[in-house]
Amino acid sequence: MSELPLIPKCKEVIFDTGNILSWSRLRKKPLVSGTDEILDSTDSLVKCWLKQQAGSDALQKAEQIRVCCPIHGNQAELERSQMTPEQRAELRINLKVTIWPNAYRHGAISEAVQEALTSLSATDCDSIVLSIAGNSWSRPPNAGGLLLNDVKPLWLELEELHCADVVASLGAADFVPDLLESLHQWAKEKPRICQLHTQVACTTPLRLRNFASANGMQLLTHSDSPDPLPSDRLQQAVAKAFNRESDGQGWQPRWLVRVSSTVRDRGVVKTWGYVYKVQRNNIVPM
Amino acid sequence: MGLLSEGTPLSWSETQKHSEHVRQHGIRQFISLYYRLKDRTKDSLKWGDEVEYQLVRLTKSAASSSDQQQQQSQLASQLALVADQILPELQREEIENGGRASTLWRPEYAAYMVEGVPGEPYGHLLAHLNLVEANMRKRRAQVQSLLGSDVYALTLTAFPRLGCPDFCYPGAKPTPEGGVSCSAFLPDEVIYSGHPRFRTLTRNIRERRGKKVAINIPVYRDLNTPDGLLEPPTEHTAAALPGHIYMDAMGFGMGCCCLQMTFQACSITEAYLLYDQLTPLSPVLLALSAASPVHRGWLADTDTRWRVISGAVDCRTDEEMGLKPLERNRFRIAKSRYDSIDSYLSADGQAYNDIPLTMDEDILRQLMEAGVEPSLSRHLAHLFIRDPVSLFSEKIHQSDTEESDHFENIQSTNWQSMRFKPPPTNSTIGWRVEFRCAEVQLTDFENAAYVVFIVLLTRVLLTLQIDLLMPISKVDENFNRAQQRDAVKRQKFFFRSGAHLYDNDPELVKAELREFTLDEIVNGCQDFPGLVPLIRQYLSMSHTDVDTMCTLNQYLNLIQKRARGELLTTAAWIRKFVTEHPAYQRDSRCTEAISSDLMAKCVEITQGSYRPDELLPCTSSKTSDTLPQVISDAELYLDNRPRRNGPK
Repeated sequence: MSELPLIPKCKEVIFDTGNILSWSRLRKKPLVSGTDEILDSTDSLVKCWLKQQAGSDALQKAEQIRVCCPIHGNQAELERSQMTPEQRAELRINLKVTIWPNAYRHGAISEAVQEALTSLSATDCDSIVLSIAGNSWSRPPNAGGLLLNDVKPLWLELEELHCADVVASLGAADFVPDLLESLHQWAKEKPRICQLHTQVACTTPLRLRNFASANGMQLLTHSDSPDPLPSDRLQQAVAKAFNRESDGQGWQPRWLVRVSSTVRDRGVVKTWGYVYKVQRNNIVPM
Repeated sequence: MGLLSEGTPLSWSETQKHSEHVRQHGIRQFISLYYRLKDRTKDSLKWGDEVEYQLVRLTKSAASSSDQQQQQSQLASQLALVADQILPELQREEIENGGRASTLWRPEYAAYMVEGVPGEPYGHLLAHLNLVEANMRKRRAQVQSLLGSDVYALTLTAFPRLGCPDFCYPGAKPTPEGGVSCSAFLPDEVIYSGHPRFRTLTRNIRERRGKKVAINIPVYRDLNTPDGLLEPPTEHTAAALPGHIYMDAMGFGMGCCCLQMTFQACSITEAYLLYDQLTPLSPVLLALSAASPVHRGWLADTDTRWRVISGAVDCRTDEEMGLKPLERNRFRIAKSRYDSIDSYLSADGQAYNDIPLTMDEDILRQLMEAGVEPSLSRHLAHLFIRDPVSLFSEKIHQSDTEESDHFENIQSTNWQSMRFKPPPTNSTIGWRVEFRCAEVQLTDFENAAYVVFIVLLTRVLLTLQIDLLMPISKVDENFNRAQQRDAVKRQKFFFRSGAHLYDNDPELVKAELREFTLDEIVNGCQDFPGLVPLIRQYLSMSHTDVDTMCTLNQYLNLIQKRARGELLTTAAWIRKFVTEHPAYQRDSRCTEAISSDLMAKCVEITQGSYRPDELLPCTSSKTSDTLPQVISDAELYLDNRPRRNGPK
């Protein structure tokens, strides 16, 4: 991998995997999930996208790129036309937005949600669950974990989206009971969903169960790891996808949205994919 | 068992005279239904389960002789022929509330059996999966509350000593010389008499066949098992084969209990797809749920009821079975009315229909000319080679557009591993698929686990669009293997390696077909992701609530351990109990003493007071009677909230 970089000036990339469920290749391999799923589909996505690019000149100059591949799998069926109200009414659209706290700037969540809805050709969704990368129950607030003040600006953005009818229900993932309760008390639009890892499903603390039940909050499970895009793995994956070490250097994740839609009355998952943004500061020296 | 219309049953010879009438009108009734309902879409996922119970009486046996068996056991176990006494009470709520109740009850073939289903079908939310076990517990409690202090409602697939002396209470004698079954072992009193259907079916099948049914199941050979015929021959047991357990009545098969599930599909196309994709899974479920290794007091070399029931309702004549040249009958028929399916229904599935399908050509032509899809036409033309074996005088003349009893007559007496069910006339119910081969387990926990496993598989198949289809001849081969003793541990099954999208190349499929152990199919291996890992992948996409997830983890854990052999199947546990019992003489006999102790243990297991850790895990689920309020509220909220650009 000693060739010249393909995207030397690029400082920002948005990856949109589209609907992973319609990628036939995925099912010939053993099942993967979590980080592997994201990076694996990124690899395939980039390769498909590169084939679509007209020439390497434009790429050489680009500072921002959006990598998506509409003809990948059966996404052609979406045809980038708006979802009709009838189509929308049949679905439950659920987003999980993961923010990397050190990189957060106001507007990141709106941007993430807009990108996710665009990839579905939808204008609104049923739920957004907020996850903060690195947060987990093993790091409670008094041990260097997440504080309400860290969450407030993010939640305010979510509330704006709710006011604008972009989202119906808000939720939070892996907030320890103290944090969840204080969020609930402070927020104008209260969280209706609390996501916990599947591993604790059978041992959910009573305090949390009681609080959730008293406050109309669903306790739902997820299988995600606290940091879905560790930087080193991200950089390796991008390098591999572009087949150049230099193209992988320096990338850090900013936000990640997992986009899913389920056919409402049938329990069949219709779309499942990821949209995420990565940035780097240093332009690769030529 | 379906179709309990009231009325006066006709004799066999009268029924036979109307055979063609029933068939012709049945097909016209179907065509009428098809036209009205084939384009129905957007039906939601609704599904339900059916559990069958045997009523077993346990008493202290009378003190008597110095018989060695009596030294070992103080109990006697019998089947209590009391279904007709408790059914009216079981059905009271339903009758008083115009058909609505939290549980619904139906009679079954035997006077010692009842069948219970949930009052409302379950819905599409994952949270509904958490209701199944609680509803099953409620059903069991309901039956149990109506039984005397020494009678128990057991979800037992086969009562070990059905047809042995003194097996039923009140006592009754078999009447091989006459009556309905003409069995050397089963008295006619065993047949539920509250409705004429079951006796009518029994008699008609026997008369159509020209002789009583003959079921021969290979016996498990142990050190002291008799060679040759297991029992001294009599004039009434001429059809017994050496080395086989011989049974001669419909009751031996239809008096077994099972566990069934029915799913509503969103369209006829999805119904075809589910029917087809569940087919390769049927032998897998049969082997995993195997629960009946003992019949008529003998340990069999098989673990399931399948061949027993298949033989028990086999109405084929010698000509149809190929033992004599065809003269009075029209067709050679390869299988009994009760057996595995013979063809796939989806368009993609046609390439895998590799066994010859005997069809009524005239009916096929009518269906095709009426525009019914070829695959469905062929399926029905095959089902309709059968004669009706029960007909009520009040139901002979029907409207072909308003009624469907003639269609249901033939449809409901083809007892296959899957059943494709059109919407009934005048209802909101859509196209449905019935999954019929699972054996019933002793506890509600296990039965819920098996039911939920299948429901989840249907969601996984639709979400991940995995294609499991393989030549149907291989599915039949798998069925044979699934019934064998300890199939879970000792057999391999044909299965597609990899997990591909639909419309693959049949030649490619043949190349990919491999033999896997059940462990590999359920838990995964190099060449196949595994059914449970696939389910877990689906669950990770579905954000189910904590209680349901906890419950599902327990159920999947059970299935995985049974597939791996870490936990015994119910059949293996029963077999172990019998062969390790102090009174067992290594002669394959399950004596009264052994059987009674076994039944007592089954009662304890059912009630939760005894848990053999080689059979059951030590955890329990978080099942609940109702959906959590927050979940129903959340669904309502999402349905009713204002939307951007949404429908008003």
